Amino acid sequence: MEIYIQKNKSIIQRLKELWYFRELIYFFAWKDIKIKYKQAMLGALWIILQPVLLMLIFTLVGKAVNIQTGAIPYSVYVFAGIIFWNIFASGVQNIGNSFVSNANILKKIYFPKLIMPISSLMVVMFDFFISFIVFLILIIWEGVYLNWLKVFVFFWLIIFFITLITLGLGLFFASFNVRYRDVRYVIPFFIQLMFFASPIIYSPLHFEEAWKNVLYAMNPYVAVMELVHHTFFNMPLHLDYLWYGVVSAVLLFALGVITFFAMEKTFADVV
Amino acid sequence: MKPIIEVHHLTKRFRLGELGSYYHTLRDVLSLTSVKKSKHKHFVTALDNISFEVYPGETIGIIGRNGSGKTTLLKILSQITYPDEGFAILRGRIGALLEVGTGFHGELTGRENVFFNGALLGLTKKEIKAKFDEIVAFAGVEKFIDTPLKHYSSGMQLRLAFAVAAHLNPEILAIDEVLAVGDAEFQQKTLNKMNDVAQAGRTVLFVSHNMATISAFCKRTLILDKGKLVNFGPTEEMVRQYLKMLEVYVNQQALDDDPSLPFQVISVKAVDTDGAVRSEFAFSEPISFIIDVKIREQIPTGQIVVVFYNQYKHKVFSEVKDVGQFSPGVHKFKLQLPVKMLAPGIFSVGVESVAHLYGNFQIVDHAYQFTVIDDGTKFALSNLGSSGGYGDVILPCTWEKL
Repeated sequence: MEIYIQKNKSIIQRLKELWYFRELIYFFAWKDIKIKYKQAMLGALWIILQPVLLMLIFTLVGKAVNIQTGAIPYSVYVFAGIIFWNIFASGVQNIGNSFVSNANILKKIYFPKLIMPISSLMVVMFDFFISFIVFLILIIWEGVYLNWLKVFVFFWLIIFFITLITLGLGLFFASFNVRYRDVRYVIPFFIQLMFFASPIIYSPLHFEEAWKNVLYAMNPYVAVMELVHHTFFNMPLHLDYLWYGVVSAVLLFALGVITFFAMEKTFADVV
Repeated sequence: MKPIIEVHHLTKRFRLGELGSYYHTLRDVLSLTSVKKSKHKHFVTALDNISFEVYPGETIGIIGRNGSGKTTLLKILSQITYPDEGFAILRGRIGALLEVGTGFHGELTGRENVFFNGALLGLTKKEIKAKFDEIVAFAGVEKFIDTPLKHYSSGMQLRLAFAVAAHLNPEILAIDEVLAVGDAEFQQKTLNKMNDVAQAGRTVLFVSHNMATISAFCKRTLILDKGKLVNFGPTEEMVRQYLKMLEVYVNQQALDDDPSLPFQVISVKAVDTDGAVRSEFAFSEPISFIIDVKIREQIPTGQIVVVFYNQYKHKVFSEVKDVGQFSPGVHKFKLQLPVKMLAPGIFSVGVESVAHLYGNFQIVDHAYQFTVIDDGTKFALSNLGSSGGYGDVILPCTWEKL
């Protein structure tokens, strides 16, 4: 085995290393999950409690401002929105801080740095799968009809889509966060903006047609919600708009990955 | 045989702003003032065109003052950071220990930490499982292995951390000063372990300030100074050359003049019988020291202590002088050593200012350095080596045949 150390490393070489260190992704995620629930009295119950409480409060708000979601109970509608949103929101947040919060490790030990964002995403996914089970129970309880084959196929499509934009935006923030610490304060604000710019607690039916193209292109999360609503609530899928979302998601992912590879080299020196 | 490590013209620069814990904020960047701009133009060369080769099974010491580039070199070889110019080829897996216990977390149990830390250092889950009992036994923490790490004493944490590190088996092991910690017994244990590693034919790079460990452990040594490779050769020679460099450096430094101290030593110089300042003396020559003491406030119990260290920083002996009766001002003292007492070797002088009931005011452990050269001791022809091999002092003992 020969290792060449020089100024630049090829993408192929980096991907090979990532494969070589793949076990470490699991170890990082395992460690984070353990620490997260170690001294928490309610432990993993928090994973369920958070979306349930949010659902209750938003149902109250929804009643007050009279949001229309057709035949779907508003509580189920909101719960679906929240658990998928949590992947994105917590994902971007955790990935965005993953290099900075592991600075001491990053400065002392070598491993492919992409491991930290990926394992951050895995931790978020772990929480998601638990709350997703609760969601399935809720949806069956409420008697919403589900096409299970469609759910199975679209579910993975949604997960893939969310992974794309979460990693993209997360890596973009994470890379700049290493150099400019105020990014840390930008992230929660930015996520909040996107929350209200996405049809999570309200219905996309409220959007005017003329606005849709712009919205889908500006905020790829709108497309995610469109897929979620179509999959679980059988709401109409607007393929003509969806494309804008897909393209902007791919661009966002590319932006994140390119930013990361361009800045990665100096991480250990400046973090 | 091909070298296991080849380093060719390695150069690494840091922007001045990148050193230390200075963070930029977006505002700094958006408001590109001229001050910031000029700051960015300043680079520090941490490594300057370094080339060397290491062969399999060698143990290599790396010595140099703080900021000479030792750690940067290890960081580049272990791929933590990238070089700006040049390249290196490693023919084997490298395990770098820049610190032990990296990634240890107080909330996790000893067992969990061993697994995570082991994985970080490049062990697979299987390997950790296979070595787990051995690691725990080496650290001697069997009883506490399922207790959260935050309940461990710092010594236990350290032992566990080193135990994981000691059970890595890369072809190249790079170690930075990790031995500077822990109790004497544990240090001995770690040294033995490192010896085993070297005996097993693996290559070791060892950065240390401790010349005794370097001498005992490394066959060849590399001297770095201000990012440049000064010399690379047999350890004994290199240690001697390095201590010489240090001598020139130390003896040019003035002691800090600290106005908050009631009294302090402001200068230490070794002089010969003519009063000329020297840093090299023959064994048979008289050696004296001129010590300047500044007294700002008269403290009746005030004393200055002069401590003599050997090249391994062990105390050889101390001298003390009462200065309580002197009025404020600078006073010069001459300290005369007994002739033919210090054995050939390298010594350094430390100074302290103390007062009974008041405590210590000033402690400088490296104020001056000098060398005693063998000009015909009774050991000159023995095979104990030319410097330091027969102890730090030669005393006028007598033999009598019975």
